[in-house]
Amino acid sequence: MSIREQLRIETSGPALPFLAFCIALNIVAGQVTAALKIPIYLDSIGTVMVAVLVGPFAGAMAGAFSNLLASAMGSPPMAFFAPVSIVIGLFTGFLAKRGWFKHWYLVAIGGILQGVLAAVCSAPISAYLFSGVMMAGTDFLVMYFRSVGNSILESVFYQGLASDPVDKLISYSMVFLLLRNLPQRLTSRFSGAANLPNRSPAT
Amino acid sequence: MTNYHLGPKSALTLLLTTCAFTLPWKIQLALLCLVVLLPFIAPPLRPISPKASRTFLKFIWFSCTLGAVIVFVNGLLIRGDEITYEFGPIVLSTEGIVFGLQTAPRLLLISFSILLLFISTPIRSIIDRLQESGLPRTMVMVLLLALYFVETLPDRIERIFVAQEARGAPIRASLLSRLKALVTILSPLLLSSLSESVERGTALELRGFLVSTLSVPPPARARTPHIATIVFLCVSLLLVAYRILVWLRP
Amino acid sequence: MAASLIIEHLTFQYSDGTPPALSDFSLTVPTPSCCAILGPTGSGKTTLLHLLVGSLMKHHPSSIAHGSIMINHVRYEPAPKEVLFPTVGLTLQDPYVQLSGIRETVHSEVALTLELLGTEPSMIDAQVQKTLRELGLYELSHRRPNTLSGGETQRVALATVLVADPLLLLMDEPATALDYGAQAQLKSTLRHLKEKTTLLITDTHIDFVLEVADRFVVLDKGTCILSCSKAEFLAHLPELGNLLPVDDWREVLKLRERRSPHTERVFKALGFT
Repeated sequence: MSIREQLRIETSGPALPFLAFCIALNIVAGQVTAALKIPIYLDSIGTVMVAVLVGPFAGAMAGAFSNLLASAMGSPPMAFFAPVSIVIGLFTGFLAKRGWFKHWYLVAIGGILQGVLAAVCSAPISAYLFSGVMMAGTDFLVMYFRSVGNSILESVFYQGLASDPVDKLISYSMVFLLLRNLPQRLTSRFSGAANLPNRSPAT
Repeated sequence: MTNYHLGPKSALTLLLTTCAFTLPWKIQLALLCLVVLLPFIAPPLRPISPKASRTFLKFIWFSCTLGAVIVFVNGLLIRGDEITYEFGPIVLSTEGIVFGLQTAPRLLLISFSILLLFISTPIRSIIDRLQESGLPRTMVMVLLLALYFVETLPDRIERIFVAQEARGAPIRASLLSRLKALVTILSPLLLSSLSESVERGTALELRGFLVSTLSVPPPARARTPHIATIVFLCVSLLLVAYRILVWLRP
Repeated sequence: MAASLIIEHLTFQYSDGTPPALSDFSLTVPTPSCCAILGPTGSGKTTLLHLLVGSLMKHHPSSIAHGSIMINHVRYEPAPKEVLFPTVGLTLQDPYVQLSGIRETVHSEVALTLELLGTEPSMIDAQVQKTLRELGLYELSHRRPNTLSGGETQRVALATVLVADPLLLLMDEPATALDYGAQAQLKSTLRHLKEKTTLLITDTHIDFVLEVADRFVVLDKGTCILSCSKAEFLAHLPELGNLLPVDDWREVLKLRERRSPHTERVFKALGFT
């Protein structure tokens, strides 16, 4: 089945508005965490949610569009990281299809794996396009790794390894907690409903 | 409909981005100064709203600070043989400062080139143009709906925030309890948005949004490109070609 | 041209083992006319509307249904499995959800329906303007949809469906969110509308539909307990007191002006002299 066909199936019915909601959530999640003074961005929480509840290709689409819109709304360099978000959407979607979102320990392992993968994907982009400067607090970490004698690519990668797994672990756990508590009458309308923990039909 | 000169402006963004990767940092710095002035001197690049001009001015200040920080911190952290400046524990190496000067203009030039396009064009007309050039209707729909949600979400979050705080959710307590509070805020948000998604999906379908017709993109409208578009694209190509030639030379 | 509607012995269950949301429901609506489906929350009104328009069978493939539906001389057994728009139009209970949220003006919001249907672009503008005029919305053409009042939003939501000229129009509790003035305005709109479109309106209260509808159906727990003309319905009103609250007796009292043996009897029974 072609990707276009797959996307068409994944984004039919309620999935389309939900996809749009999750893109918006990616963009405004930072405001919520800032209001609560929590030092994480959660800027892929919507992507993860779509990937689990709808499917990997919809997840990839949510990731790409989130970055492009964020770029249009005042964080210009985000557009260049769209490929990383696409990988996050695809990877999470395939993990969910394999049942990794049914048990909390698999979710935790998945989150850490995702973090490592995100670090691997974003390192070349931020090293070669931006010389490791991302206008964020993590830049100081990059500079520290450089000051102890690593190359730019290595420094950016180590910085990613230090911060991405934690961020993705929190995003994954958050999505797991949120989706687990949703009523089945709502989730059953989405193609990824089978990816969630099984519950007795009575609940 | 207002003509936002989307073609030439996108080509300009591409050209400036190409410059950021092909030209030496001194030229980039000069270009950067020009780019910052463009919204004030070139009418098609004027900000579309007071909000857009605030974003732009804020970004100018932000980039000045950022540029200085990048140069300073790199000078401080990167060890080199040559020392430009020494004051007590603060030692700035020439190597570090040069690296900072090479990095900062590139990052800022890319940022400003993208910003120029978006402060002078409403996102909706960019999406309209994408649809005209053949972006599938599903994707156009997703983008437009996402914009709608971006506009309305902060309000909804605010309402839930107030409600949860009134119920005594630990919004001002320790980090762990604040993380729990995050779940108590996102949970109702997600619940309401899911049922809204189901309703909106149905409503769209009830208005004729049929999945079967989606794969047929609307006919692309042919346009003659603006002369500026052609010039910008040609210069970009020349720059890339020049860069490749420099690389290939032993 | 309005469409006729004939429902025969329709039974519907969301899944095996759950109680039927509709059981052995039959209804014939002549053309053109307006039929009110009344009943408390959970009586199966919304289920019926979504069955008729086709969205229910489409999204609940594991549901169980029997009987048949005939819309405009086309027979569906047991019910349509694809959305029948623009033959059948449905306005949802929440008008804010019916508006797409992606358009900047009322005019382009209404035009979206025709764009989605693939209407010839040169025809769209005239058709939208005609619909907006008919519904008294022409002055709002250039307003942003999210700045409208509840009543205006309800009428714009109606316009988004009516612009495609459905032969059968279903409305799910259109009066619930409206104040008295907005209800009166919608009533006059519907009275004009039923000349050319078959209307099916649900409500939990009788006040709103009493003036508009000429046929009344009362549902309770999925079963039809009454299906009759307006005169008969008024005669049965006292028995329905527990099922259907009356918000505004003024509406009912107005009907006294048109005295008939039936209404006389009702008012006596209710203690009005």
